[in-house]
Amino acid sequence: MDRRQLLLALAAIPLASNASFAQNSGAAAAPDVAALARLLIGRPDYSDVIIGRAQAFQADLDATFAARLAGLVQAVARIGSKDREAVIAGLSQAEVATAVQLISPLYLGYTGSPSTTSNIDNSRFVTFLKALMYEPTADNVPRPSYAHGGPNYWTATPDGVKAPPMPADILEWGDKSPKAASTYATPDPRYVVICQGHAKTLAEAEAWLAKK
Amino acid sequence: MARIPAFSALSVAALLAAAPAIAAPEGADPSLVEKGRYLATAGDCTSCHNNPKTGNPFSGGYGVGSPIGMIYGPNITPSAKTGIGSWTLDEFSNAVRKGRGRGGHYLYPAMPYTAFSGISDADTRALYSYFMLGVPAAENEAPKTELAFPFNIRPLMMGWDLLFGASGGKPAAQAPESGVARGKYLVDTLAHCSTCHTPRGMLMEEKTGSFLAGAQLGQWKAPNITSDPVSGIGKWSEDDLFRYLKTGYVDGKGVAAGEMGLAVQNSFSKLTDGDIRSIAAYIKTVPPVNTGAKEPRSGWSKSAPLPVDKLESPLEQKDYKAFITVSNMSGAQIYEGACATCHGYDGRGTPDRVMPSLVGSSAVGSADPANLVMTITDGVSRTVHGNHVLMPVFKTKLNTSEIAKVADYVATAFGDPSHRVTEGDVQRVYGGGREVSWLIANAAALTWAGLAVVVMAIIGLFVAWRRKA
Amino acid sequence: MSNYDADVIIIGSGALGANAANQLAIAGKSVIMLEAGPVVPRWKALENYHNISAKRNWCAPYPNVPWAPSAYTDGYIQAKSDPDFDYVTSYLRVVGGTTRHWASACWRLLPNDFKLHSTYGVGRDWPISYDDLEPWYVQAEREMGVVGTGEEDQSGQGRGHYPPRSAPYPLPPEGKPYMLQRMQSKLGPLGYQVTHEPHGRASRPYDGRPACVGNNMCEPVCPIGAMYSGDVHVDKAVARGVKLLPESVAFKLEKGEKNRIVAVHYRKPDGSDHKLTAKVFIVAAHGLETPKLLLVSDVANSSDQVGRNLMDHTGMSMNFLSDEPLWTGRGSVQHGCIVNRRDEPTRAKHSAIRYSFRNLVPNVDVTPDLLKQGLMGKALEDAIRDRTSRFMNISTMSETLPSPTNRVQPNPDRKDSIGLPGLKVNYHLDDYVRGMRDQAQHDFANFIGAFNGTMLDAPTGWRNQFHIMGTVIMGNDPKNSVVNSDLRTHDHENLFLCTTGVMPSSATVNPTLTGVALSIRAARQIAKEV
Repeated sequence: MDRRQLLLALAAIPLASNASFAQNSGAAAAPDVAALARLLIGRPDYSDVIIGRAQAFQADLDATFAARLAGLVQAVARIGSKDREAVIAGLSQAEVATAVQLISPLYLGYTGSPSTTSNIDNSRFVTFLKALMYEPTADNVPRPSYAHGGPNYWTATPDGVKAPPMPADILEWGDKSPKAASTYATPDPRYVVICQGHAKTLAEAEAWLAKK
Repeated sequence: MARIPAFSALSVAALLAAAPAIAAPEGADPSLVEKGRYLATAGDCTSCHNNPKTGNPFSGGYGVGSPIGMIYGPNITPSAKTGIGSWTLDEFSNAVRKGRGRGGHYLYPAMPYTAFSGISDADTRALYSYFMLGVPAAENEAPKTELAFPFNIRPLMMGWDLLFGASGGKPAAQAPESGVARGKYLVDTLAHCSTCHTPRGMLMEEKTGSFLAGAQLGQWKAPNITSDPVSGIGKWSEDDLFRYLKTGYVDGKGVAAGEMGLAVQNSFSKLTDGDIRSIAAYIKTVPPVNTGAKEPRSGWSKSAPLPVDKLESPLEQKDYKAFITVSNMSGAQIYEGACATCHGYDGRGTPDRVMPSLVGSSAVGSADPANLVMTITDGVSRTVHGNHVLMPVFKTKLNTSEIAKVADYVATAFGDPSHRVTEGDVQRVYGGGREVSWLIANAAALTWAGLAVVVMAIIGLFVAWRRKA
Repeated sequence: MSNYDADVIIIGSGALGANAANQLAIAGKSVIMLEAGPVVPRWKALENYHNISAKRNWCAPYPNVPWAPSAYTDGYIQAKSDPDFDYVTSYLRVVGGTTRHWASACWRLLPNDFKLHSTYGVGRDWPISYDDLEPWYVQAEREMGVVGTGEEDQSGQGRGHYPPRSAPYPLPPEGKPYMLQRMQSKLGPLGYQVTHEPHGRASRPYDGRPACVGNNMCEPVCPIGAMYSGDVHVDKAVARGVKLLPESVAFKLEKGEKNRIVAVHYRKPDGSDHKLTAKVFIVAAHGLETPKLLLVSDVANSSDQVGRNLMDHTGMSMNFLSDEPLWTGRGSVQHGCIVNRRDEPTRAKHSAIRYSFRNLVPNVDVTPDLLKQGLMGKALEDAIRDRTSRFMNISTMSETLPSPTNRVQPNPDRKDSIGLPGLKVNYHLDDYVRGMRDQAQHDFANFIGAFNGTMLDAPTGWRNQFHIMGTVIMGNDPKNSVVNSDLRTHDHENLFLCTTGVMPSSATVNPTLTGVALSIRAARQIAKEV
C-alpha cells in the first residue's frame, strides 16, 4: 500500500461510518478495509458489501472504532505480509482487539449483543449465508434452517470422530434399546461442587472440599 | 347416485373361500394368475380403475377429468353384479384390445386400447386369468360416464376406431422375453407410453413419425423422450433411464412428478430389473425427433444464484410491516424462504442428494415451464419401494404471482437465464392444452355441420387426459 | 335465518383454538375465528429469520405489531419474581399461535399427574382421570402427527410400556443422533435411562407434511413444515369454511341474560371497534392473554381464581464441554430425555424432574467467547470446530404447584397502540420447586462427570420453559376453579376456555398435546349442543 492509498483509506473510513444507514442497502467497504478484512478471514472473494456493513455497524456501536481501524490498516501495511497467520502474529494486543472487532461480525453474522428474550437490543444483522462460523463445521452440522442431508443422516458417526465402543442396539428406541443400570451411581463430589457453582475446575473443587 | 358399499377385499376373499362351488370361468387358468398380476402392473390398470373412496385398486370409480366431462373407470373386479365377473375371455379381450364393451358398444379411448391392441393372445389370457381368479370381487357400482352431446353418442367412435384404433399394432404372436424386442413390446402395448408422450394430429390421433416426441398432458407436459440428443433424452444413458424408471429420480437429470410419478410408483418401479432394462434399451432406439429445442432440458450444470450481498438485507425489529408484507418479495427471496432450505442456496440440493439438485433437472432446464410450475404448484408425492418422497404442495402457500416469481428465479438461476417465466406463463400452464379447447368448445356446432367423425376424433384427446387426477 | 353471526366464535387461532375450529367445522357448525396478530406465511417467517440478527430469539422472526404486543415486547409484561430468578415467558400473537415457534414435544401426562393431591398430598387433582382423556390423546396425536414409541416407560418407574395406550403413535420414532447414543452409553450405567421424546416432527411424510430432515431449526420456525404447528389446523379449518379474522383483537366479552355471553367486541389496528354474536364462545387466546380478556370483561371469575395459580416448568440448565466430540446439532433440536425422576415418591416433597438434552447447532454459543479471547485465523477456526463438537446443554423440566398468589393481571398502566392494557405477573418460586435443586445438582454432577466435562454455565439459576398452566384452572368446585372438565366456565354456560391455562397440574412435560386433546374433547361437546 502506498501513501496515497493509505490517505484515501483514512478518508473513506469516517465517511463509511457516517453512511451506516446507507450500508443497509448495500454500500461497499472502503477498498483497503475490505482487503484487510479479506486477509484476516482468509477469504479473498468475500463481499465488500458485507464487510461494509460490519465496519459501519461496529463504528456505530463504538466511537473509537474508526480511528483504531485506520491504525490497524497502517499496522498491517507495516507488517507487509499477505500471509494471514504472519499478519495476525505481528499484531499488538490492542490491534488484535480492533481486528477482531472488524471480523467478528463476519464470523457471527451480526454486530452487538442479540437478546434471546427481548425485541430491544443493540444487535444488527450483517449476514447469515456468509457467516463464517458455520464453515469449520459444515461437514457435520447444518447452517440452521438449511438441509444437511436426508432423514436420519444424524444417526451416523460424525466426520472425524472415532466412535468409542457402544452397546449393541444403541440405535434402537423402545424394547430393544439398551437398559440402564438399576441403581444410581453416586456422583463425584468434586462435580457436585462444580454443579453447585462453588468451583469451576476440578482443582478448585478439591480446594473447596478441603476447606470445608 | 346410490352407491352400494364396497365389501372389503378381506371379506370377499373369505366369502370366496367359504364357497368353493364357484367355478373358474372358462378360459381363466389358475397357473396364469401370477403372470397376469405382473402384466396388470405393467399396464398400470389400477391408475384408472381404482376406487378412490376405498382404496381398492380395481373396484372402479376413479374419474378421469377430461375437457368434455368425467370419464369413470369401471369396476374390473370379478364381481358378477358390478364388475366383470361374468365376462368371457372374448369379451375381456375385445374391451382391452379393441375398445368394444360387452355387447359391442364403443369404449371411449380413455381406455388405451389403441396401445393394448398389440398385447399377445397369451398375455391377454393371463390378464383375464388374473382378473377372474387373482382379484377379490368387490361390489362397487362405479358412476356411469355421462357425457354431453355429441360425445354421448358412442357409435360415433366407430369412424375414429377405423382410422386409429390399433396404434399398438396387431396382437403379437408371442411376447418377446428379453432385450430390445421385449422393451418395444412393453413400451408399445402395456406401458402405453405413447398415450401420453406422442403428440396428436389433426384428428387427435397419435401422430405417425412423432412417436414419443412429447405432448401436453393436462397442465403437465409429457416431454419428448425420443433419442434426439437435444429435444429428447439421447444424452441419458441406459443406466439413467433404468434408475429413473426404478426410483423416479436421477440426480441432476430428472424427478418423476405428476402422472409420471404415479406411473413410476404404481408400475415401472415394480417391474423386474430385466424388464426395466429392456424398456430403457428400447427407448434408446426410438428414432430421434427434433422438436426444436435449442439445448437439452436436462443436464444443465451452471448455478448462478443471486449473490448473497444482493439477497440479504437487514431487517429492523421496529419496522414490523417488513415482517408481514409479502407483495414486494422477489423470486430470489421467495426461493430462499420456501425452497432453499431443502434445495440449497445454490440449488444443488444436499451433498447426499436426498434433497434433489435443481441444477440439471429437466423440469428446471426445459424451455417449457409447465413441469416446473406444476411441481411447485402440486408438489411431489411418490412412494417407491416403501420409501415415500414428499415435496409439499405450494399452491396453498403461494399465489399465482408468487409462483411465477419463484419459478422465474429457479428457471433462470439454476437453468438457462433466457428461460424467463411470467405470471402469464403460469396462467397458460394452469389453462392446459389450449388448441384443444377451441375444438371442444365448438364440438356441438361441428357435429351439426356433419363433421361428426372429426369431432369424435377429439375424443382421442381423452387419452391424453386419462391420467390426469 | 340465524340471529347470530356464527354458531361458535373462537378467540385465538393457535393449535388449541384451530383444532376446536376444525372439529366444529367437521361437525357442520359455522365458526368465526378471531386472531389478534397478522398472517405470516411460513416462508416469510423463514425469510425474516434469515435477515435478523437475533437468531436465538424465538420471537424475533415474527412481527412485533403495536396492536398485539407479546412476550418480548419491551414493557408489555411487568413481572415480579425472585432475586435469583427473572420471570420470562415467550409466546406469539400471530395466525397459528405459539406453536409456530415451538419444538413440538408431544407428551401425554401420566395417570398420577391427574391425581397429584390424592397420590402425593400436594397440588390439586383433576376432575378427570388419565383414562377419561386417553381416547382424546389418540385423536390429538393423529391430528398433530405425533412421532413416538409405545415401547418405553415414560414414567421412568419400571412400569413397562407406560402410560397405557389404546392406539400406537401415528408415526414411528426417528433415528437416534450420535450425541444421544453417547449419552445413553455413558449415562445408562449410572442408572439413567435415555428415552425417546414424542414430538410432532413427521418421521415420514404425513398429512401433506414432508419428513423431518434435521435442518436443526424447529424454533423459531420449521423451515419445511415437517413439524406440526397451529397453522396446519388454521388452514384445515379455513378450507372447511371457518372464517378467519386476523388483526382483530378481542377486548370484551359481553354478558347478557341468564349470565350468557352474547357478544365479543374486537378492535382493529386502526382503532375501529366491532361486535360479533354467537351461540357459544371459546376463548383460546393463550394462558396469559385468556385470563386478561376474562378479567377486563369481568366474566367467569366468581371464584376469584382467574389469572391465579400460574405455573411454568421453572428449572435449571447446564452448559459444559465434553472430553469427547458429541456433535450436538445433528438432527432436530431435541430427540431424547431422561424420565427417571418424573414420577418418584419424592414428588410428595419436591418437584418431579425431567432432563432434556438440547441438540442445537452450537456455533453461535461457542464463537462469541472465542472472538472475545482474541482468537483469529486458523486458531479461531480450529477452536470453533473443537468447541462446537464438544458443547453440551442439559436442562430440567421441573414441576410447579398451583399457588393463588402466582398470578397474571391486566396492567392498566401500560397501554398498547389501540389502548388495551399490558400484563402484570407475580411469580415466585416456592420450596416445592426449590426443593429439587439438590437432587438435580447431584444428577447434573453425574452427567458432567461421565464426560469429564468442563463447566461453562453451572446449573445454579432458574429459568422458565414458557409453558403456561393453571391460570383458568379446571375443577369440580365452582368456588375454587374456573372451568369444569368440558372446559366450560362454571359461571357462563356458553363460554369455554381452550388453553393450557386450564391444567390443574403442571407435571414435567410440555402441555400442548394435553391442551389439544382437551380442546378436541370440548369441541365435540359443543358440537352436540349448538
